[in-house]
Amino acid sequence: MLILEGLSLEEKLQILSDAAKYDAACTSSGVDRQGARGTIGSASACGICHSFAADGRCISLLKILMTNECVFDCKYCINRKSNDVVRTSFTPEEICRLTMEFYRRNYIEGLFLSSGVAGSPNATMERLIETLYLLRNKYRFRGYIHVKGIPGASPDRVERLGFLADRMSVNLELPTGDSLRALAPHKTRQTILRPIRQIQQGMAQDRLLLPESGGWSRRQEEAFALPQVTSMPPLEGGLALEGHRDREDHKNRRIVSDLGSGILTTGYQLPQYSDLRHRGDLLASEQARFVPAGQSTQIIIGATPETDYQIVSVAEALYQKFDLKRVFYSAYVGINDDSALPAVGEKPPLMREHRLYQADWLLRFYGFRASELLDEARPNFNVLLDPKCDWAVRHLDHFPVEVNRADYYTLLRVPGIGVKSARRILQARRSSSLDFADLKKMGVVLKRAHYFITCKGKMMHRIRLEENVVTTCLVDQNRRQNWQWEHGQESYRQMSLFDDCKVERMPTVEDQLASVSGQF
Amino acid sequence: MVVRENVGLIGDRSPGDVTVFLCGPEPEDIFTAVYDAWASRLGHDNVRLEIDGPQRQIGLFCQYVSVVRDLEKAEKVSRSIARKISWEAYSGVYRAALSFEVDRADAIYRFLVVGFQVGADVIHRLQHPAVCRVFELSRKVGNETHLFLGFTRFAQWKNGVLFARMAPKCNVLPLVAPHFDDRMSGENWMIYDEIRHKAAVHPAGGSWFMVDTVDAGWEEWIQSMDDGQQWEDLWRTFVDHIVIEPRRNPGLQRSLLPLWYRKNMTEHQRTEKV
Ligand code: SF4
Repeated sequence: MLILEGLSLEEKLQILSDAAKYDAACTSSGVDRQGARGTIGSASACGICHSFAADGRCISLLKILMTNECVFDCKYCINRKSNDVVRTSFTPEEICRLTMEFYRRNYIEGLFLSSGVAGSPNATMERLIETLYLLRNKYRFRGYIHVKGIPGASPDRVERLGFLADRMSVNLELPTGDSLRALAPHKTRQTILRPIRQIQQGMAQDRLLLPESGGWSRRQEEAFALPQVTSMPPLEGGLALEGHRDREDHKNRRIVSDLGSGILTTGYQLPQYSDLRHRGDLLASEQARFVPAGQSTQIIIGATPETDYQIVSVAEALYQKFDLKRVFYSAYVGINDDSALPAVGEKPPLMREHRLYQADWLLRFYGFRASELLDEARPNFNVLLDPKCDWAVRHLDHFPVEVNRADYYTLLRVPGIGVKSARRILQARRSSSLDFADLKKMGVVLKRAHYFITCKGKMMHRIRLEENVVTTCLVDQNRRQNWQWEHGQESYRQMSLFDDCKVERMPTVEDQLASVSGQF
Repeated sequence: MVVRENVGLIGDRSPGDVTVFLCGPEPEDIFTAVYDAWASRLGHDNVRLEIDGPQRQIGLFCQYVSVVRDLEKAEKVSRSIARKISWEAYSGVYRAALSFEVDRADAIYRFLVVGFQVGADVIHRLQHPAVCRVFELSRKVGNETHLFLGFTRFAQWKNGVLFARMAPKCNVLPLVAPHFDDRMSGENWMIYDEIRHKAAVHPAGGSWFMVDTVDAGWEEWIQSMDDGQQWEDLWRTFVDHIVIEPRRNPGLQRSLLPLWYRKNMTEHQRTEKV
């Protein structure tokens, strides 16, 4: 391994940002924290984009590796042991100074620190802990920190790191254990899932210690536990995937049960509250929080043969069973010449990645289940139609729905009605019933929605609700949308960049009741 | 500001005439105009609010009244919006007042007519054109504010002061400054709106305030203060190296970061200052 000594800070930054860029996550969201005297920094739950790179990805955090040395040999990774690349490391001081000087100039919202495995997972974790400790305490940094957990690290190190960071992520990397074995010989499902489970448990206990802070999952549960008056199939609880119906085949069940809770009891306990104060967090003066912005993970798309159905099923299980905040999908970029991988220079499957983000959105905010979107007979997304339109044209018997009466989740199933517009409809129709012109003001995309709704009993145009008629029209619109997306003009923004802050707030119980009783 | 008509003349108006209240561009001006128009008791249909400026069109059959900014009146208006309608309505109206759209003053007036009738629920009545308009304006201002929380760039002066320059379309500085006040309480910083010629100034450990910067010499002075660029170069290095080449997509970048916003952003200032 070629380790260069005496590189300038600029040279190190070139190498270690190059090496970090394939991680898709760059959001700074999930936690609100005000500034405080004697410190620098704050955090905004919505996340803040500071710039956009020439590939259109948001730059929010200083995304770097601590070192690109690595003793592992993951085939898809540029830093793998067997690659002949220049290796270097930042010192903890260098990372702190870069972060602070960038932050003061408002270049960044915080730090996203990841690392190759230098020496051993535990030794790497110690360096990460040392760096964040310095940043929080010596430099009094109160901004956002996202840190990577190293697979195979010991629970106490995961815990110490978790008290210094806002978000922690351990990448799942590949959707199935088989693929992992094939491409990442040093990683196993278990070394990856154990810290994920531990972080989840730590966060849950943290929430118990601080009862006033409602986690995302709790809010999600509330929102999902609504009276079932819709024509939709009822949503199942967190274990939906284990109770899968017979039509689910074995393979898929195995993929998902791989994530099952049995093998993953870590028995992890957060220390008592009184112990938290010496955890070294600058924020200890208030209350040290454990991974307050939640955890995320990343799945590489297109390096292995899994179907979209398998991937969204895994994502669903991660949301439901592991309480993940985000799953990121990263279209595989061919960098290593390896017979086990797609060829170098092959175009990354960006449209597929886009469809997965759209589906992910439907899982998290629209009350869809993976098995409604895809199944074994249709295991991949339609390239011509986005997943929601695709679902709607296959379920025309659910439509049209009356906008002035339908409840929140029914509205959400209408193509062209989003979370915000559905919420606005619920509020506006309390004072008077709505017309198509009103819907436009609420942000409804009538071009798409009009096939599926009535206002005061009338459709906008007289059309036959037939699958092929509607499909043809929607495919045509989607083609334009796809074109715009490919040329960087549309929609990508809503799906994957701007984080969820604005849609996370579910409608209040009151909104729900109003719609359920249908009295307005 | 020249008073074109005396308020006293309003009594002489003939039926069907509209009285236009001309005010300045800041929220305080608009709120004063709301106060005056309301207090004139001419009837909501017979008054109109306009922002004074070159783009304004002179209407026939209109009488013009120039509104003189009065902080007391403005405060009365804002207080009664917050109390009698709701805090949310107030923050929406305030943000709408920071928009650049010329119809903002009148839209706010119409919004308030509905608001004082129906109370807090006004913000949900998007069917109503005035409510919809204020909502739209306020959302635009809110969106631009959010952009500037990220896009504002500070440079460090020789004396350690952090200085940022912005050219926002809406008057977002009053909404952006509190964010940095909270985040960087220990720094001396200044954010300069080069279009409206005003700056938010924050002394370390103190609270921020607004200054007018119309005096001659200001531009030269700030340029003389500029300092080294070590960190600026490092930042450009980072922004260049974070790109994944096979994903390069300048169209997407342009739609998310329009050229308009780039001119004050360090990573897009490459050639000057060598
Ligand atoms: S552990 Fe694997 S993915 Fe991570 S840096 Fe090393 S080779 Fe790359």
